[in-house]
Amino acid sequence: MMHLKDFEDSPTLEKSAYDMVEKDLQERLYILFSEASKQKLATILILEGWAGSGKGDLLKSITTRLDPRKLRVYSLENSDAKPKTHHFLYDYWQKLPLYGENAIFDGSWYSRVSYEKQEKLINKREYKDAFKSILNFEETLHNDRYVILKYFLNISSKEQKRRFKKASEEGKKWMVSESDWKQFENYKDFERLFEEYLNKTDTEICPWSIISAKNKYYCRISVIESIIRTLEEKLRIDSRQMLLVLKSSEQQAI
Amino acid sequence: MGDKFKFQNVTFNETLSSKDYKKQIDELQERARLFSHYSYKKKRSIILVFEGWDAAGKGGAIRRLTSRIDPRLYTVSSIAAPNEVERNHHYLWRFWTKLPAFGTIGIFDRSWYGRLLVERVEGFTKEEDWQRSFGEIVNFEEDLSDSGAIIIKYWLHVSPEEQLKRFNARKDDPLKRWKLTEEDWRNRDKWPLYEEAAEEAFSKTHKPNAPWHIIPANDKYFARTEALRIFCDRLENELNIPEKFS
Repeated sequence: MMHLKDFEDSPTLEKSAYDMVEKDLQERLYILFSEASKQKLATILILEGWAGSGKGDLLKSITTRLDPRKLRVYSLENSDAKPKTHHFLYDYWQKLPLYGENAIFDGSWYSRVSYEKQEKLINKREYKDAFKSILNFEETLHNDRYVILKYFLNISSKEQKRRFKKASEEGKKWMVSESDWKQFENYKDFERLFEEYLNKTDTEICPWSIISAKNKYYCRISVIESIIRTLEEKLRIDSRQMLLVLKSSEQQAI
Repeated sequence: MGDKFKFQNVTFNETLSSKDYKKQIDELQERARLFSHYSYKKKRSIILVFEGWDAAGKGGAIRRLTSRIDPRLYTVSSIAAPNEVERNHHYLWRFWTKLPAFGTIGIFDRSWYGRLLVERVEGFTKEEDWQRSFGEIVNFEEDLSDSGAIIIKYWLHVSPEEQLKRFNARKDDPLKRWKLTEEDWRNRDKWPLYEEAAEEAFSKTHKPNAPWHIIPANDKYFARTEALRIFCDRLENELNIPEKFS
């Protein structure tokens, strides 16, 4: 059993240390995503986590060096959930990337199911069925040419409150929505819902990584390095080595 | 149905006279019309799969089924070889994206079962991949029925002799010649292979929530009314339609 409580603390990483490694890591991401594309694999990156955990900044630092023609980012706004007209996975099937391309879900089928459960938009049976559908869905894709990467960014309730307050003190009140505050007010409920999906869908083929987001630099590096490790294993290449080769050939060209 | 479905056990004894056909089809179409409104009210979607031998009369059966239903309440998707974009997705993608909305009817003239029929027999898909598809398709249909969909799967069955008769008639009829392709003749040569593939597909994917119905279709009148009758009876059962409707 995973408990989010165990992922609240993190080492501190200074901005200067982060800045030193960021560029190379982004370059390696680029190398790996290009290789995946060449091999006609599709990647699906799922970013889940608390409001205020810094998903947006992480997202930016992941995508900035990637080829935008092969990348789609989907952001889920629970609050404008439309009336249900199809099976809940229908929307996500529509959004599946082509072989050789990438999709990033900033909020995915996971936050949707927990939001709908919390808001009582689905009943017990539908909630239970949803997990069955999700497990089948991910297995079906995994057995085909899709690589699924799942990250959960964790912060404590105290840290969440601190960030929301800080935002409004800095005149960035607009950054914190009503539903964000609602999440804070019902932190315990959401914690239970999140832990439920994390535990139920942490499979061997599509495991979860829970990352403490207390220190945003540490969090970003952890996620990016984890993506790199997973893709290197899948593609059987060494991106650090490839980057060195690229750099030295550039130097020779000069 | 069950584990050992065999085509050789299908008989073609049932026929329908033109007079009986007209009477029955009229009643059935009226029931289908009413029931489709009822399922719309109940927000239940209906998914119909039509498979069968070439020239078995799928198109005609679909047309008789839909003819009196409000056209806003159904869509018909004709499934041929996948296009470039479709080939670059999971094979179920093109079916997920064509699913009918809650309350409406999605009719598939050929379907995801192509994976287990043409793709298997013609070797378009590797064996390890289509082997996996039995389970994937069962899960797919279970997802849909869990969300309230009523799934009916038809196989229109003609004998090889009847098919040959129809091919020859098409060949000689200037209005129907377009229906007959080289591919039809090629598929006919592989009849036993298709038979084996279909038998395995039925046995492994015949579920209470998504049953197969093998309809003897040497007699077109019988096949059309039978398909409609199965449709109406299933809806009546699943939706508990009050008597005043039927």
